[in-house]
Amino acid sequence: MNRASLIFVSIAALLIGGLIGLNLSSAGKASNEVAASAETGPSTQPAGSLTYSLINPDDYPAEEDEFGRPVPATLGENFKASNKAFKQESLSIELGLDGEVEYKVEMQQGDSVVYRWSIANGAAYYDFHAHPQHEETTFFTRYVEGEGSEHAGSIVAAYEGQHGWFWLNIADQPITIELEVAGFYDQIVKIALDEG
Amino acid sequence: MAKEKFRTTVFFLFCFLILLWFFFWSTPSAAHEVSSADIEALRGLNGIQLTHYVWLGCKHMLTGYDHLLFLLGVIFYIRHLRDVVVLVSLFALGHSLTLILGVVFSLGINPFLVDAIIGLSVVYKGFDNLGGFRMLFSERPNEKLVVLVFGLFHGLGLATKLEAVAVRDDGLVANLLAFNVGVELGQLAALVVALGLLRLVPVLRDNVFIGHAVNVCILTAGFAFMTYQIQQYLALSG
Repeated sequence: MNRASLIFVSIAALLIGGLIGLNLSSAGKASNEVAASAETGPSTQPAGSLTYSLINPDDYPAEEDEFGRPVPATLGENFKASNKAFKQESLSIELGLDGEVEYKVEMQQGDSVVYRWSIANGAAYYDFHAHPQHEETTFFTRYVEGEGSEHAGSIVAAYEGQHGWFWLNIADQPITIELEVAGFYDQIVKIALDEG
Repeated sequence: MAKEKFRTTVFFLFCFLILLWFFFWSTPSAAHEVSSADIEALRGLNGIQLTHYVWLGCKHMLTGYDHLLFLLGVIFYIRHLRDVVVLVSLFALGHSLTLILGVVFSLGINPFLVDAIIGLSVVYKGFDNLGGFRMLFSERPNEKLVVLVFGLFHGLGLATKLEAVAVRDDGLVANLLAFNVGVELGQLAALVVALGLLRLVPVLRDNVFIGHAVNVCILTAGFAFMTYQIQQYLALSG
């Protein structure tokens, strides 16, 4: 090997090695992101949402104080005290052929609800989204959308506004949506669309 | 002809084994972290856990491609077993020293920077084996001294990995020594494989072209390690 080819292969090695190294680090990052989204479920955490700490307790060694008693870890952002009444509501929503409707939960920032809905006699296109309370903006967040006959979830309001569901009947008959909501919120409102 | 065939078979068997090793013992994204399964295994194990730490050290050495490539580079063109023993002993001395000191005094050095320097050691060795220092600087640094000094950095790297998992209690020193023994055992195993490979497939270093090709691969891998670690350092501390 002469001097010129030595320099050439060294530079080539630097470039190729550098590319591999950068690729490795982005692959590492991507796999971390995949792991994170596997923990949070399918992309239901859009921009503007609150951040939660999701941890694997096994990755954290238990700490002990000087007397050998276990010391609790804190995950403050996962907890929110509420001074609202605890509400629980069940609704039956009728939708005709090609009918569509929205039901929204009016929530203050940090309020939380859990919900479940199901359709016994058909299926619907649905989404779960939120609008800020003030009218001047067209900004909204969509947390989930799909087609099916049931869905369940929970949300902590990232901002003050209406958080809720849109349904479009995709069955070839009228359907009945049974919706159950529980949590801390102001009220549930119906946004009438063409209900078929 | 029969001998030739035997050698080829053995060579491919080796390649196959190394590939198997690669697939089953490695986590591709984090080239050589201590795996979470290992952390799991050590959790709650207070006190002296010699066999666990010997196993951990052995495993860490055999899955740490940077250590292995450096070792391969060091012995690549050394034909006398005695010289191999001297160089590997110096390497072992160097990394044992900093491994023990690093953990006992809890130096807390940034693991990414240390790993970048370990990557640099691989680059150095690949370049050296290509005849780079003789050709460009007309003088080669003292081989033994270089191996010892890079050995010190490899030991620091091992120390940062052990510190990530070890429980600091009164069993620490014994566990640390057990880890070190495991590292040396793993190194010995790797050495046996590498020496066997070079012995059985002499064309690897006897053929100038193939020898250069292998060392260009080592050089490239060294640059890859360095880039990866520096990138991680910048990403995580910036």
